[in-house]
Amino acid sequence: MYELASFLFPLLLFVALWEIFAHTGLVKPILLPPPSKILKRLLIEAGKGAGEIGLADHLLNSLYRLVIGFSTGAMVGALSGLGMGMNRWIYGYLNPVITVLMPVPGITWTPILVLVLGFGDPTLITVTFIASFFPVAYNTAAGVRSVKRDHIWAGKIMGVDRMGTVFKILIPSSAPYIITGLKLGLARGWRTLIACEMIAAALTGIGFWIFDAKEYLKTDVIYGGIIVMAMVFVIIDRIGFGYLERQTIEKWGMSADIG
Amino acid sequence: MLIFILPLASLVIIWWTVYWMGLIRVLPSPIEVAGTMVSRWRILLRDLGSSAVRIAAGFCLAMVIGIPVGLLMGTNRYVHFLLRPILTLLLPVPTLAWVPILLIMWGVGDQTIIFAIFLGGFFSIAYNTATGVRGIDQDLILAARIMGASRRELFAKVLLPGSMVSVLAGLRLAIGYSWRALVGAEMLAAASAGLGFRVFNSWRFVAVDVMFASLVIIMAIGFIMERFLVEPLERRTVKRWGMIRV
Amino acid sequence: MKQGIAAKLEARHIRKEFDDGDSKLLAIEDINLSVRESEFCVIVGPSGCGKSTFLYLAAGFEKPTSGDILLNGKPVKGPGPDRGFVFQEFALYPWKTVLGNVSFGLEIQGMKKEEAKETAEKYIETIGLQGFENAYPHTLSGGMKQRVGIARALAYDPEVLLMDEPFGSLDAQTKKLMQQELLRVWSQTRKTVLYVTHSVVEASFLADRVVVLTARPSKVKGIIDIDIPRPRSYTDEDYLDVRERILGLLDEEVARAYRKDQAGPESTPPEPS
Repeated sequence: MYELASFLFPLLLFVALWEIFAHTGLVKPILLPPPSKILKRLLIEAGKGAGEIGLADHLLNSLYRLVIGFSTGAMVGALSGLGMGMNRWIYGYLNPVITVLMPVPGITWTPILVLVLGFGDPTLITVTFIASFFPVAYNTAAGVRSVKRDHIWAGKIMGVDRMGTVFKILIPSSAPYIITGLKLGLARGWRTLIACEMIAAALTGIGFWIFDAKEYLKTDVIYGGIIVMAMVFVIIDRIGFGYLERQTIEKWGMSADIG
Repeated sequence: MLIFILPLASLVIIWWTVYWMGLIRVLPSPIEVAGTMVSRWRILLRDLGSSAVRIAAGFCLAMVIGIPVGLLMGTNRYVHFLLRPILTLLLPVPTLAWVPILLIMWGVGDQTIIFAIFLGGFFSIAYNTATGVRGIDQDLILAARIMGASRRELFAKVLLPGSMVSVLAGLRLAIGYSWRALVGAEMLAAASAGLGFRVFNSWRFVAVDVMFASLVIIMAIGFIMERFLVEPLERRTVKRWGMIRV
Repeated sequence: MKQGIAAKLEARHIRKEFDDGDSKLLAIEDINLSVRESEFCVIVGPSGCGKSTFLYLAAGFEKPTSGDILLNGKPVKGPGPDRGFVFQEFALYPWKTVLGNVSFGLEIQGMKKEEAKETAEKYIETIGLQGFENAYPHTLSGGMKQRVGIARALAYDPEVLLMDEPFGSLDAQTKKLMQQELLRVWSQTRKTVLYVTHSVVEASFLADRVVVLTARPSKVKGIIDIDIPRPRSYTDEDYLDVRERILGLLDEEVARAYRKDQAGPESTPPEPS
């Protein structure tokens, strides 16, 4: 509990200072709206009912794309990583591909995808898929390749078969790496999705919402959107992955370092 | 080397096959794109130059401001307590999310782009520097103090080298983020030149060959930076410290 | 050597060569060995002589270049639950509790969960870790971890127990304790044990029979039977006598291995037959 408090206190202090500063008029109110105004805007947007596009619509659409893009990207990534870790040929083929394509900024894929799939969900989900895929594949491969020979042998002499080795030994042993890969994949996916929503969304999405707001100089929407975006990520990352980590790698005393 | 190139060559072959099969109408052939890179090399070179200048400026700014902030956070408990939650919250925000505000403030142009790049790199540099400084074994600091080190000596001889690994890790991340920020910001906010701008511009006019040519260059540079800037950097720290990073 | 009693585990003209394309390494030249039922057989040899490699061959983790290994008269084709293996680095699964680790082999064999649990609990009690069934390996000390390793290997009742320097990672005190513990557990089950170590002290304390290997590429240099009843005392005359004999054989080979390393890994000095 103390942790939560020490996390929130500076933030609240910061918000308070911001509020005061915004009212002094030193900076144009357009550029730096006070938090109260932002909060009001968020509440208005959240409360918008049917017929109007509100915060809920944007957020849910973004999350929908994230969930589909990330889960498929992570699954394909994990399978690829597993294959890479187990088979020399697969590794030999995929490793250079991943090494070259991983550093490509996610938005770079957007223009190509828009030409092929058009604006909107298909492109956005695909971009999220691509962004999530690489870290998961890379880290899973690293994890599988670091499984100890003795662990595999111990299983074999007890009579474990091929499939058993994969599910009962390789995967649990690589868990720290896989989880790290999933965290990175989610972060990347979320960032790339928002960025692409700015240039390729149809009508909804947090990224679109922020970008569109600039046309009307609605800076309260822009700041509000950024805050929502940050909070969503923190919730998923800390709470979601935090729980996963506690139940698995922390309980088992494993970490992603060598040894 | 060869083992490395063959899988990549297969990608190009897949590209060419898709083109040849006509599955995607607007897709140019790899040969067309290569040809465009050659025939339009002047424009592309100018774009590359613009982009290079911007990222250099933005990244240097991020280092010059990020490292001191990180050091301050690392050494001063109060500053750390106050700033950490904010950094943690803002770190995962995509850099492009800041661009709309920058556009309102400064409109289209270099200023916006460079500041966007700065934002991209700043957070990870500050955060990692702070982590690095805080991670230094307290005993090392005490030992230096007992030997009578002045504040400046402590700083230069203990804090800076001790936090190197983390600082470099932050720089590594920052290069990636800055590059992404550059491409994205140029797509949204460039006036007349730059690789990102070229992509966006040719996209609007459906000049696919130019678009693809610039994309290929962007991909290539991203890769070169990773391989020849970041990895050697990482290897030198990994070797020294015997850690293996995931 | 007592004649006429059938061997539990037999190695005939075992030869093992490693070939990685660039260079060849002859680890084992010709090992012939017979281990009787319920015998505690210990293999000692200089570093790098291939004693662990031999154990891996017996386990089926690797295949000999030529020669056979027979268990109960049948050739060994690969790893399988008719053998148990205890690793020097424990190799416990960190994501399983003590109970999970010990019952793992039983579950693989298809035993029902409750039955496996009961059997595992029995073995956990045998090694003296009752109360720790739900602990995770990372919370255990080295000695405790290896006890789990032994229980895990014994739980599915293998024909032979193979042990690869099991106490090599432990400190001196724990090592001594564990050796006594091992003998206590062994005396309850009387399993056939093939044990590898570089420590003559350990070998003389534990073994019914000690097999001394030459330096790489290895052959059997000598076999010494130990008839001293257990528990043995480190100060007993007979014990010390046996230790000296083994050490005598071993020292020659250690010196030989050292000279060879000095000369370079590829050289094989001519051996007197």
